[in-house]
Amino acid sequence: MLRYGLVIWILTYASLSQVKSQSEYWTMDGTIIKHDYYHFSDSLSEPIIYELQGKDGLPVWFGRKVYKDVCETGECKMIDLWLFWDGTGNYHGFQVLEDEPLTKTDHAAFQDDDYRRLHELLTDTNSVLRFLNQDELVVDTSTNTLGKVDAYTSATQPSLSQVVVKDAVYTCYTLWHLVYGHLRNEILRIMNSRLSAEYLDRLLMSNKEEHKIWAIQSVTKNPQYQNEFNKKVIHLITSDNARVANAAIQHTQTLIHLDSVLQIELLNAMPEVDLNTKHRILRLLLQLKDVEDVVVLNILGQVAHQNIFMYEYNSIIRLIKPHHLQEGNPIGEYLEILSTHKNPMISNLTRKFLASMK
Amino acid sequence: MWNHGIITLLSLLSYNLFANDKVWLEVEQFDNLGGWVVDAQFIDQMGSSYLLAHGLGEPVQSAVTTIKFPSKGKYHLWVRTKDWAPFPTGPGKFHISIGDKIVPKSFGIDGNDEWHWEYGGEIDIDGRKTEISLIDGSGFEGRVDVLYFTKNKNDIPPSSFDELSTLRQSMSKHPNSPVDVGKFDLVVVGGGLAGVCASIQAARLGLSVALVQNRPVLGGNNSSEIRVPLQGDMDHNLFPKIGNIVRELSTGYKGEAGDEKHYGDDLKLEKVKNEKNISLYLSTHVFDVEKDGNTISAAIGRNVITGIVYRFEANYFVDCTGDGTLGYVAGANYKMGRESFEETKEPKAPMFIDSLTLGSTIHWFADEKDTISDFPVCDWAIQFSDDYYLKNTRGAWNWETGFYWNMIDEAEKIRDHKFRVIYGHWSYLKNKMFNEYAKWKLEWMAYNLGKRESRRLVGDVFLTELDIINKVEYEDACVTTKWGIDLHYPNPQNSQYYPGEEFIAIADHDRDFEPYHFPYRCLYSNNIENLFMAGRNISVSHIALGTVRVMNTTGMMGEVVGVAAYLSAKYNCTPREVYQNHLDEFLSMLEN
Repeated sequence: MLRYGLVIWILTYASLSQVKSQSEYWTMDGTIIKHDYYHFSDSLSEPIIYELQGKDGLPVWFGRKVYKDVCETGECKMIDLWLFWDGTGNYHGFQVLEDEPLTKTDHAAFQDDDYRRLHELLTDTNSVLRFLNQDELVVDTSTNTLGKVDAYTSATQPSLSQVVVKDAVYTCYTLWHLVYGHLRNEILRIMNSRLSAEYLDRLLMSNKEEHKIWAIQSVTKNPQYQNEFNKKVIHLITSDNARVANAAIQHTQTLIHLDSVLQIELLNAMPEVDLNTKHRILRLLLQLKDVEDVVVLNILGQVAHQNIFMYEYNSIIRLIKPHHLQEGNPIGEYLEILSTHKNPMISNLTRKFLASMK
Repeated sequence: MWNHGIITLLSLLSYNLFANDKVWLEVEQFDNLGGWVVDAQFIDQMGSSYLLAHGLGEPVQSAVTTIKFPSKGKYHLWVRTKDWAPFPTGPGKFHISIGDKIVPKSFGIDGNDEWHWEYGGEIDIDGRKTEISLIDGSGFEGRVDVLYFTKNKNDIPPSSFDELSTLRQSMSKHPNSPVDVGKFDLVVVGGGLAGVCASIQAARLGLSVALVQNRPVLGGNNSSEIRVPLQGDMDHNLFPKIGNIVRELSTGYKGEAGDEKHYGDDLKLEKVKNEKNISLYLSTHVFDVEKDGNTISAAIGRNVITGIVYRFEANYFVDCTGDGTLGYVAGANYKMGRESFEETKEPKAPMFIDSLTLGSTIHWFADEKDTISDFPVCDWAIQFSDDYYLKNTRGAWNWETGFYWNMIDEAEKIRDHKFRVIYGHWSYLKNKMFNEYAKWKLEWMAYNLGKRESRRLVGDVFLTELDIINKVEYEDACVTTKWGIDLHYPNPQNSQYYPGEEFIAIADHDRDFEPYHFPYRCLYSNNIENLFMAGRNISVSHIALGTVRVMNTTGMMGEVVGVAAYLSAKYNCTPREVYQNHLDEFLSMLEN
């Protein structure tokens, strides 16, 4: 039986200050599914990972009720709270129980600022806590660091005092490792166990960005799906959602070979994206061994219209192969036109290139 | 250690030479600089330090000095200055007062953006002891190098660099020969992270070290003068203990353009001063070397305030200047710009060699105050519009410029361009968006350029992108980089509006980067036998620089070079011979 929480801190991509009420959390549309799960390091917690599944059969969130001991400066206490992840295993928030607030070494209850700071810490996937062992948790709060090394032995900066809740470093450490440790691994295992072409299709059709991104990343990690999904992923470069578009570009960057269909898909994306993304697509194409003639011609056209910048043209002309300069080849003919372009940088570079090829 | 408090005393040793009929007045040696700052970045290009009225739009307090003219009478005044933003004329106006009279001419706004002499007219000197003031007119970067008083109307000072240098030297009271400060085991030129780490490492191993830095503070780009944070993972090192000195020097602060206290100038200085084997020479710019064949025997440096020239003799030298200055004057092989695909076969390389480099940054920030303030309309600055404007209240990494310009020869132009960008931006926000920014005020702006790339000295291994992507393993691998190849280009949208003078960058940064351990042979010159290098001027291609250039990594290079220098001294061998004959011991020392 769940008790209503005092505070729920839920990550939204828009704003950390947006807090959903607990009732919304548990009354979202969908079906609750329970996954049996036990880990020795967390043996007192309820051995279940909860999943809310939407009508499309995709996970909305995962959650776990954590009941675990934390020892601050020799004194141990239990923490009792809910941790939540989104439908693809990214930290989403926590729920503290009304009569079980988190406390510090002096037994003082966490205040709103403390919870806020904890939430910020838990959103940091690359926190300094990642690299520390528990016995390395010493916080030097002195402001005068002149002549001193920070008081913990780990190499990593910034110093702990800048990231943890004051007087609750072990609580922070424990929760961060719960969020990013075995529980998250299990969530990812659950997700990966469902992987199939049909599941990937559903994820890519979802209106949640985390589903799309997870699907793209799964295609990258699972080459057996690439033939079927590369084109769909490349098309997502034109997504209005910058994070989805970025994930799509990152996937494309991992592909050693892009066939003509995929190259043309990239080419088709160029007019629909912003300048920065266009630049990234161009750099993708420039790193391919063999680029389709139609793509090369299109890019040269962009050079002619000065939509592409000169430092890039110096790389673009690497795409020109000797056979392009044979008589009758449209690329060679286009280069002749560029050799008399009104922009001297274009004409000079083109002439220099043509001379080098003779 | 030199500081501005000592400058007053040292004015006795200044360039103020008095012949019967002339006075040469180096302004950086004024008794009281007021609000003017000493800019020593461009000595090699324009000949000297100079004073800069870095007032962020508010006139700075006058610089004042008292001199004794050789005799009464009429003197012709010449002032060496420039109009740094002649669009059509710039804002860097200043006046000069001599005694109780202000010279009528406004200096620094004649539309000539080369350093040149402006004639101030005939000045009547009626008393030998005379107070001279530089009176800033705007707070917008007026600048002055030297005042020359001469009774001879035809005695027009020269403009060419060489003639002027000769004249400057002849007018100096200092001896023609450099002051010999002694012989060291190691001279480290450049006091950024790489140089400080190399110095401390070598000193702790027992070498006598001279650390020569051309700024009044240590830290380079990580000092309070430039305010770039230390970056680069040090937790995946091949040799885990490499990086320990970097950690000693780090405040942990990760922000760009933050408060002065975050960058640990005092911390770095304290660390160096605590090492009894280090002799520190601040505000000293190395501009020449003495050589014996392909070996450097001494580095020659000039104090940027007093003008005194020093000679630093050593068995080994380290170039941590960033610009590869020491190596350059010694005749070391170097590269600059982008290597061609034909040369390196790097996937990211252009077809032909070109001069594009990573850009440089001037950091700045504004604060919101309790009261409303205004800021002048800056017609001479870069203009923004409703079609293109930015809303920053502080600088960021991508406020970057100078991609197409020479980072050394045109460094002042690049720095001044960034001034025009920031002032133009701020003018736009304060005047076109006044309601939103009424209470915001410019608080701080760097005037020292934060460079990312210029010369790269060539070693026995020239690291390229291919080494990294093919994970080539070198037996002398010693420093680990995990930053990812991070290359910056002009932002395409910015290019549309400001072609050829872009000031916003985009980054191609591979963040899924496996740690790569690069070799020791990138850290010494392939043709100057006793020259090490550490920092952004090591033996890497433009593309490979993208991963090694962050300061935690350059600091680790310094630590490694310190060890290599120790072994060179121990075995009386060259840096190359450390690799050839003592590699096992070298690697063992890095391990332990």
